[in-house]
Amino acid sequence: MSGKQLSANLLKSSLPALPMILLLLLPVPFNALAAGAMEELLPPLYCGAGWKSEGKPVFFDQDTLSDRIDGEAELYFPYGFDRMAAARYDSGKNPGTGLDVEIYRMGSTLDAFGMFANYRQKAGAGLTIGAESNLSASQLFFYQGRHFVHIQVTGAAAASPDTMAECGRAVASRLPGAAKRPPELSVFDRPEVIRGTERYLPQSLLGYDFLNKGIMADAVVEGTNLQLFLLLENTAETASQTFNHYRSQVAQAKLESGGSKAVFLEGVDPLYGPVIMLKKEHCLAGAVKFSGKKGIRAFLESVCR
Amino acid sequence: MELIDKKGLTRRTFIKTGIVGTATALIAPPALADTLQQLAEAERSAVPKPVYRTLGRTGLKITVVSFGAMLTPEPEVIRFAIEQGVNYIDTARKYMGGKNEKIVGKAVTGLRDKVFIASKTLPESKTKTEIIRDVETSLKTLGTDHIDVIQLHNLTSKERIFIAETREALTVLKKQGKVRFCGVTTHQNEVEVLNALVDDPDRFFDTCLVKYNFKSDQKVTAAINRAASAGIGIIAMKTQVGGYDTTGLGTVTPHQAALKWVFQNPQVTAAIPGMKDLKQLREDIAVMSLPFTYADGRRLDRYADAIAPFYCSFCSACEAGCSRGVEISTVNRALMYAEGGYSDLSLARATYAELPRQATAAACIDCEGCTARCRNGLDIAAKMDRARVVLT
Repeated sequence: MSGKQLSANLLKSSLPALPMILLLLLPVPFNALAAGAMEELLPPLYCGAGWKSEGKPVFFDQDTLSDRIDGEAELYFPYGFDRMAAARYDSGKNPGTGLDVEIYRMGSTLDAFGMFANYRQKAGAGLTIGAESNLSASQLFFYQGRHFVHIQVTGAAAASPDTMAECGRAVASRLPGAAKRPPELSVFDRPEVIRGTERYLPQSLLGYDFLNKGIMADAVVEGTNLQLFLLLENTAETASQTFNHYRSQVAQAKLESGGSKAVFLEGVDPLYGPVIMLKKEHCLAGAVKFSGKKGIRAFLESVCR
Repeated sequence: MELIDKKGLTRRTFIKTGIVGTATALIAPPALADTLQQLAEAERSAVPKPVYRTLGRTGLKITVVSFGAMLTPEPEVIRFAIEQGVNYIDTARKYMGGKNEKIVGKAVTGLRDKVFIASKTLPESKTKTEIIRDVETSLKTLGTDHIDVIQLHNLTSKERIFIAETREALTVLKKQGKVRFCGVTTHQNEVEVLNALVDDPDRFFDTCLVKYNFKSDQKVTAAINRAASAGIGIIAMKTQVGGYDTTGLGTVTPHQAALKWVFQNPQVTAAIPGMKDLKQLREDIAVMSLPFTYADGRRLDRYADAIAPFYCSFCSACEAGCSRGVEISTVNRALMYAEGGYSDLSLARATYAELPRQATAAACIDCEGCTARCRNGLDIAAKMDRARVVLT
């Protein structure tokens, strides 16, 4: 469906609210709409019962995102940030309290997940909004398709969790894209991995500039806590280059065959201490932050299988 | 299991490797040469001794290269920096929805007495309740009982400096020992903010985190110098202008030169470049004791030349000098959409088409001479000529 068809269908299905929609669209800069597919970023008129859009939505691109979120914008760029729409909602019942909604279009579902994981709070609660969501006292984060959404309560008074959840569902219902985790995470769907600790980093995994595009997660292997990392290499050749580069940083590095086309590296990482890494064809998986080595090699082999 | 290799390199071996690295690259297989070269690079990037300056009237002695933690996902990188002597970490309540403070908290665990922590209240917080709530949350998230410098985040004018309720909250927090010093941050309208800090009869705020780099206006430098002379501790941010990504600039790598340029000014106590990985960390802290050289100047000149076609800050100041009323900054913005890395001609033309015809570059055609001047040295007449070609 083209963008024009989509917007036509949206308008058809929203005829009763047409005057309000037109009112909302009026202040949208022409250049923003001309950029294509901006409609999908338009925040809803109401974000939950009684929470009405206050003023016009504002749009940001790569050049202007820092006007909105200052230098934090740089966090978004490696994740393929494209556009962002922001709107503020007011209930009229709680003067001084509002809901700020920010809808970011990222490079891919994996990128949107990566941003979500950057912001996800450990103490936050998961709700059935988007692919995954995280609700804390004053914030709700979720992602859906290639969109990452941040809802923030503003002002001194608190908003109830239900209010944020309702607003989140209203936003999610308008967003395209499946409410599914990125397929790259499927390798982490195993009992040893602690759900909700996965992170995707497009660059500087583990704090090394040469480790790019990788996923990390906490895991428990045979009773030992560790941090698992997996590099998303495309070919065996690039995996070898990355492996050799990492090896050059590791002290007391020791290589051992791991069977056909597989090699284990053990040594001491300058930042993390003991490390075990497996290279098997294009798969590069490793473990750090562990107190005992039992079962780790077998675990890494299962990750790379 | 078969033992393939064992590497237990000593410092001497590293140095030897470095010496033979180049020669080996000529005769050895590429993979081996690559590995040896990397070993040599690791040795060359040894961390120098830290250099300290005093942060204005706070009296805190902090490393000239301090740590902007905003973009750092791994606490281990921050921790490594602290172990190398970096002793000032800047974060904010807002960054990563509060999670950045958590990362900093993890990084300083067990090292709290070796490091000063600076954080910021939420940008929209102004009331006593909001400020106290922000600081209490920061303390909890950071896992500490005090913040060394708490800053009002992102001031764009002087008004927030004088809000009584904000000051009342900060005074309470200081009395409770939860914050030691108060500051502000600004990257827009910096001169007004800096001057207001100096002119404040109560001299309430002690520090200013300010956008400052080799492209900054002389007025910003003057305001910084005035503030520093009045005892305000000056910390520079956005020192890199274009950030780290200079992929499109070929071999120009001006980061170190840009930092050194900032440190030339003795009124600047420190800079807080954002560092995501060890390479950036090593690159930045390596400059601590290095002087700004002629070569650095040349490097920055080349960098400035490289970004000059794109470096319109859209401040609109030039428009006052245009007798035809051309909206130069919008024209430049449209041109940037077409040519400044966006390569989005439809967006560029749509932006340009929004302008009334008399405000477009078409108004320049019969103009006898361009009287608009760019504070960054942008050739405005050339840009308008280019806009007519590309955007119509």
